[in-house]
Amino acid sequence: MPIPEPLEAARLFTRCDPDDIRLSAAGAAGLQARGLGQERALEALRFGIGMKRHGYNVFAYGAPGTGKHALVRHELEQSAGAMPVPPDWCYVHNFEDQYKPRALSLPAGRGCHLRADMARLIEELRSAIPTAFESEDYRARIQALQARFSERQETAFNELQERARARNVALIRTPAGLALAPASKGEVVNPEVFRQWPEEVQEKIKTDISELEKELQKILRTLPQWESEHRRELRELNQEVASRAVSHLIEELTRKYDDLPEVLDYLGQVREDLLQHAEGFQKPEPRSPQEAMVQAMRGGPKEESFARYEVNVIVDNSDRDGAPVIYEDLPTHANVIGRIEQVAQFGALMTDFNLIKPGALHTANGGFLLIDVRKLFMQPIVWEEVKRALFSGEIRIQGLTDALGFATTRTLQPQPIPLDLKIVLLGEPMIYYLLSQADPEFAELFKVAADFDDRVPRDGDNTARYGQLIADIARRENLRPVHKNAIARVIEHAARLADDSERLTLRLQSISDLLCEADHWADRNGSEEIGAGEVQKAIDARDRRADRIRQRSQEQILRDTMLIDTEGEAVGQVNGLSVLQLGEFAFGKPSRITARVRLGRGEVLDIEREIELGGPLHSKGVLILSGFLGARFARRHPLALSASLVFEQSYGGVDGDSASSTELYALLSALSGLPIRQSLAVTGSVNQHGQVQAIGGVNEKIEGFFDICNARGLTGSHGVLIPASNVKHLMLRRDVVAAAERGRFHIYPVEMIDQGIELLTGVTAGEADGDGRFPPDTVNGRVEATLLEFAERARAFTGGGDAAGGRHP
Amino acid sequence: MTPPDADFGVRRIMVALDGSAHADGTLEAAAALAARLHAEIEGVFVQDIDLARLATLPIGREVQFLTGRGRDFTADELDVQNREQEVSARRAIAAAAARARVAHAFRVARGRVHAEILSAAGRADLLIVGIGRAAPGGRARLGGTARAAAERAPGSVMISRPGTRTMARPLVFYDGSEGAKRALRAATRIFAAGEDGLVVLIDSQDVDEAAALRKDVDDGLRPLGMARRFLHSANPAPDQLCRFATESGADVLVIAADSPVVAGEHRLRVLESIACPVLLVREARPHSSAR
Repeated sequence: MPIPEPLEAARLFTRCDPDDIRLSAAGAAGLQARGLGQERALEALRFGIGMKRHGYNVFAYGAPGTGKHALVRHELEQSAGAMPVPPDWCYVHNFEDQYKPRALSLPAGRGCHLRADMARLIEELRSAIPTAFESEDYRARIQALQARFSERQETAFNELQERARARNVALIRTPAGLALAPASKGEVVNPEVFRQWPEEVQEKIKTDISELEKELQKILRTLPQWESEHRRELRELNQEVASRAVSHLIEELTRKYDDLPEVLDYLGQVREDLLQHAEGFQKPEPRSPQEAMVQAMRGGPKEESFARYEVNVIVDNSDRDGAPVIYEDLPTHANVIGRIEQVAQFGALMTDFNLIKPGALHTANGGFLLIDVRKLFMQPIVWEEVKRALFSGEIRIQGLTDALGFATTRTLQPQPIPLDLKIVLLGEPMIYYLLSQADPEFAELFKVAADFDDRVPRDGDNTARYGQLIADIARRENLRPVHKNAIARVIEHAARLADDSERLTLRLQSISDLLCEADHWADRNGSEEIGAGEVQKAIDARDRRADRIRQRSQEQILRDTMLIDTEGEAVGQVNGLSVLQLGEFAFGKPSRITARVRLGRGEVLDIEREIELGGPLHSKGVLILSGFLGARFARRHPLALSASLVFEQSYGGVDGDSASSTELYALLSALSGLPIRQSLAVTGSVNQHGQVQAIGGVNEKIEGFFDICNARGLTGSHGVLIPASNVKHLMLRRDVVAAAERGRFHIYPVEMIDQGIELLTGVTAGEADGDGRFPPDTVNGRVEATLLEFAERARAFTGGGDAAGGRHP
Repeated sequence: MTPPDADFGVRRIMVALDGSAHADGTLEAAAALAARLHAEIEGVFVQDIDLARLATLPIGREVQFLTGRGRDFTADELDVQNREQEVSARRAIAAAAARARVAHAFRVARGRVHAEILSAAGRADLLIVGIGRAAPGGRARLGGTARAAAERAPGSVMISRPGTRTMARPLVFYDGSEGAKRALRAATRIFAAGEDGLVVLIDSQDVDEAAALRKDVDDGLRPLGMARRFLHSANPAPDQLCRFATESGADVLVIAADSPVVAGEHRLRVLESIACPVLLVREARPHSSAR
């Protein structure tokens, strides 16, 4: 296989031709651009919106910054606009059980009308009822009733008293009742006198007292019945009077709401309640808790409150066109499910149906509710409550302590409201996968997954749409117009962000931020539009702000604290490349990788793994090396090798297999004794067949080595070996490309390990002949010879042969 | 009218006590009045001679309101009741006097209740009597003692009602008569410290006369700096008088005992129907100050 030639500069960076960008005015084109690359996700979302069956809620997931929220919201609003406006919902007093407020549904806009009508009714009742009870007619009838009741009692007692007097018996009051005693001239007879009375007189009066006592008992037994009758008569009178004052007002409302049976039923209950409690409304209500307290302390009668006829409109859709689309950005239990507020009165917490507050489930009912799933899970119990609401198809408001099953005081249990909405959860893929695996109910309730991509192919059509999208973002963000050259530069940067010259990132938040920052620099420059220079300035400034650690790392190399050679040759020593990710910023860093070999049992020792600084993928890469060496060089004898590999001066963790080719080059150098050019650096993983495979972060890695070489002075011998399959990912910095153009820096695309070792050593790798033996003056031949020697020594050492002076069997 | 003066001097207030909660409320109001007037209060508890006789009669029977059952009324039980009521009344007056910081006395009498109370009233400038125990139907009815006091007490008498605690907003019935003038003077003397001033119900069927009466009252009260408010009536029936009291927010009605509107049966109807205490003002008579 021929040694690869350095890549041409044009392949290191795929330019975007400003002429490929066609911009149109905002509107349809902008909207079309907005869904760029997300066709699959939008298709899923539309399916979820249109699917009317239970459980077809949507989980929209994708990498952060891909514009999920805006796209989903836009899509939902489009659909919601064509949907019917859902009804209003109100809570009213439940006259059968005050602790279970009644829910009323009214056509959109009529909830507020009912509230206003009931408020007006209350205002009228405040004056109508007292006026009715202050009328002369009412007073006269009340007095007549009371007089009749009094007379009835007094007549009974007076008649008894007269009968008693006629029999010389006095009826006198005792602390606890009435007593009967023999009397003379209106006074109780002195006991001495009584004893002097003839016996028959005493007997006679005793009989009389006994008879009168029975009569008295009969009267006293009848009293409660008279009182009951009196109260009933009073009640009937009050109801009659109240009915006159109330009926026409209620009938007016009844006519207005005669198309709403539920409201009519409620109004009927209001009327009945008003009549039942009319007398309680005769006095003005306390206007404040303090006033109520004063009344209570004065021992005043308990008065009825008009507040129970108020209407608490918890969902008002009067101003809405179409179905609601609600985004709940703080999905607490109260904000999602609703809450029952309390007010402190005399040190006690009180509540009633007027203090019921809606949650997002109420306001989004009949439409769509968007929630960030990560925020949802930050709140206790809300997820369980949301699932319960979706399963049961109703919203049941209960306090957090109730939901958790803690002991609580008696509170309201509002009538549940039917729930009919779509919930769209927004989140990251990992959360979706975790929920799918860990929560069996999740799959039942969120059957639609809208998977948002984070990159899109960079073809002609998409490039044009991307350009349009950039212009659209600038318009939405109220930025300066973006010049075509600037758009082209942004697109090139989008490819860099995608780590792929043939793809564009869909993490549009980064693009939006870049445009805003470019606009800032345009402002500083006094420019009326954003040019390519401002975009480049924004990119550079962003890197500059984040590159303190990169600079520190490079300083350590340039000051020879970290030993990295960029000149000369060394055996068993190769410049590897790694990437450090610091938040959104990543940079490449050269590392010296060395290999030492000795006689052993065929194992390649990964020092990083031994000290637990190496991750599993790195270990895998190292183990592959054993496979490669064994298959290529130890077919006829054991691999009597012990090798150790290490990332020199590495004090942090190492993972990934992108250095496995590097480590193999170091091993081959150590085994062959051939020195490796230190002006080159290497990246790429390798398989057991010696094929070099693609790795990530190729651009950062190349730039990391370039920066060191450039600082020390480019000689034309510097360069990086990368997997050939990574060439399409190259979107290198302009200074790197410029150096390549001048022939001062080279990028070698390598497909096989033999190509790489030839480049690194300057010695032919060598191909095996028909017997599988390599020519002795090649790299592979020298490696084979060394390994054969190791094998023979090993056999001799264990007494299996004579080549190395070992014992013969 | 004669300017309000100090001729309604109150040095001793007599309160009829029976140990009930209602009497406790009356005591509080009496003590507050005494403090305001720098007077002393004297409580009188009467052991009813009729009950004593009943208890020792071999055939005395009592029917209780609560159960409706008849039972023998024994001397032992009466003794216990008397003792408890006496102790309760003695404690109540001591406590009320201590709270109001006024001097007090307590006396136990034995005889017919209304006679003893009327007798005791002769030694006081003002007698305060509760309207009576609640009737079986729960409505306050004028008891025998209150009725006797209202009709025959030698001096002014106040008929208090259950729940009476304070008396600061008097309604004075004024028809220009001597009795009405006396009532107005009494009101200014007794309730002058009231924050809300007086409400004066001017009674006249003639508009000009009503205006004159009003001017008369106005002129008399102005030098005292008392706030006043006027209502007008024309020989009100008992129910109307009660309504005036309720609607004016008064917590005591002050009226001459010989006023025609509370004469005869009207007195009973007013006293039973009105929602606040009633002060029936009579001409002050010299009395013995012996205790």
